[in-house]
Amino acid sequence: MSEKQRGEVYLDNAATAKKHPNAINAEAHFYREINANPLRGLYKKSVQAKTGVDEARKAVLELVKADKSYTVIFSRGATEALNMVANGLIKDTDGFGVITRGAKIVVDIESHHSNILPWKQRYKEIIIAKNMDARELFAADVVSLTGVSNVTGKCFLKRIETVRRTCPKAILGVDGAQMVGHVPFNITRLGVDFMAFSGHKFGAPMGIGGLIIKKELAEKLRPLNYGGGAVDAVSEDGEPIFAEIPERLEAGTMPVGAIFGLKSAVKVAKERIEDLGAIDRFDETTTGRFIREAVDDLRKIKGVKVLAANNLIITFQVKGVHPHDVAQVLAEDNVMVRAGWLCAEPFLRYKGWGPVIRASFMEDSDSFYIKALVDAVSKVRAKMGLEDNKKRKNVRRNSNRS
Amino acid sequence: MYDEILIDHNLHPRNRGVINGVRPIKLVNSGCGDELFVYLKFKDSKVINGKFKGNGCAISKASADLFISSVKGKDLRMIGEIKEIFEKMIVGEATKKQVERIGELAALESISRMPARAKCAKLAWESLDKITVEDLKSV
Repeated sequence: MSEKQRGEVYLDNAATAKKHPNAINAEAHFYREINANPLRGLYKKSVQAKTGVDEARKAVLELVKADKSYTVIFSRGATEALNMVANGLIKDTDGFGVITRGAKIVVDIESHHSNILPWKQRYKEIIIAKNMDARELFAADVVSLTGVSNVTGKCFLKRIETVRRTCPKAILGVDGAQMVGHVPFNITRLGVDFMAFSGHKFGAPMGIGGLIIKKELAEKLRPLNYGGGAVDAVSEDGEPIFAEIPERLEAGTMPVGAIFGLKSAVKVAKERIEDLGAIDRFDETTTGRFIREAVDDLRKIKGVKVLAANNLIITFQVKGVHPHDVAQVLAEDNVMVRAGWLCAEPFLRYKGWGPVIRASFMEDSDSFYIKALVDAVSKVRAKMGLEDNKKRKNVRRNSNRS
Repeated sequence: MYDEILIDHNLHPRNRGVINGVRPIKLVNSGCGDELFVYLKFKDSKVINGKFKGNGCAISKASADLFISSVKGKDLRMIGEIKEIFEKMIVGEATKKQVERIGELAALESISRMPARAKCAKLAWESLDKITVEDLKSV
């Protein structure tokens, strides 16, 4: 039975996107038909597993138009990838790293917590840049930017290009969690040194993502984990001879089924992105038009304030009702949205918005989703007793008597 | 989820306000942005007055209002018993008989089906864990 037949209106795709059937099938296929550890075996199935992993790596690189100077390090997702790079860049006596803990790290105010905390917890000086001006960027060692905001849906490709020009010597990174698999771009042309992504944000299984990174920089990264698969040899007293990248940075058994699913989701995303051509054409697509209509309809509802609406995201508040209550009331109508700080508390505080409600769509979302969202939101204030005061007063009198 | 009693206590709280001369107990649910201040005035280990102020979701505010109503006039031993039942109720572990014993607080029973909101419902109750010996001497 389909989601629509069940009456479910899932609008939390920015938290985790609906999984593409091809990706689910590819993961199931791996466990049913292959289920071998890549690298570990000399038998056919192990080779098939290794081939699948290599193909997935290649597919990701093609998706973001990376040239041969880049590689992909697989991780659990963008958060782990950002931790990998923040941790791996610190120079120490083990020979890894390129900057000290005193290096100047700049992130943008739109950052998700996952682009703040990995740096904040490891470095002495973190600038959360609000203006991206020369003062904030001056002498930055690392600039790690938001690709697409998970709060507003805004895409920052132009900002990335500008910062690359302004800070030619800085290590330039992008949190691509909401961007990769959705937005057309060319990582090579952008001159980005590393980009974190999560497969589950664009239809791949949960638990797989990675760091798309310049090989030259990856060579200097300290592994986040040490162990099997990351070494060529270990001496009797435990001294390792590390493997080459990317394996050196991928200790332990990878979630290979998820990687097979990722490969499949990347293929679907690549076709979609090629059809789109350019990010500023999104509004012209059928879904783009539906989402604009939803924004117009939401704005007509009494008490609703649309704070941001870009690409696949609409962020709003309902006057007099806490966002968590709004989300709960919408859930009663089977409309599933995210509410709260959206893991971007510094940004929401900076904007003076506080907690919000976010509806996030997929590229194939149609009028069914828009209508269901607008209908459910239009009932929120009444359900919370804000538009039928006479009835509430009666309840109060009765309640006081009891 | 949002029954009449809960909505009513959110929109028309009976115990909103402050008590002069009583230390406000600050309670924060940082995940939601809820921030409450609870005032409890004691005499001989009995709550003789209670108020709250602050902002939060409907559940945290309604629960705070119901909390104050339910502890007023009771001693700490009795309040402890109610708290135990309340905490069991919001995780779905209280018996029907127990729930009947706690009166209007039963309006929050549906929280047991929504574990993400349990923190909101428990927020005001956390004030009891922060009571000091000095607070008990507030009269």
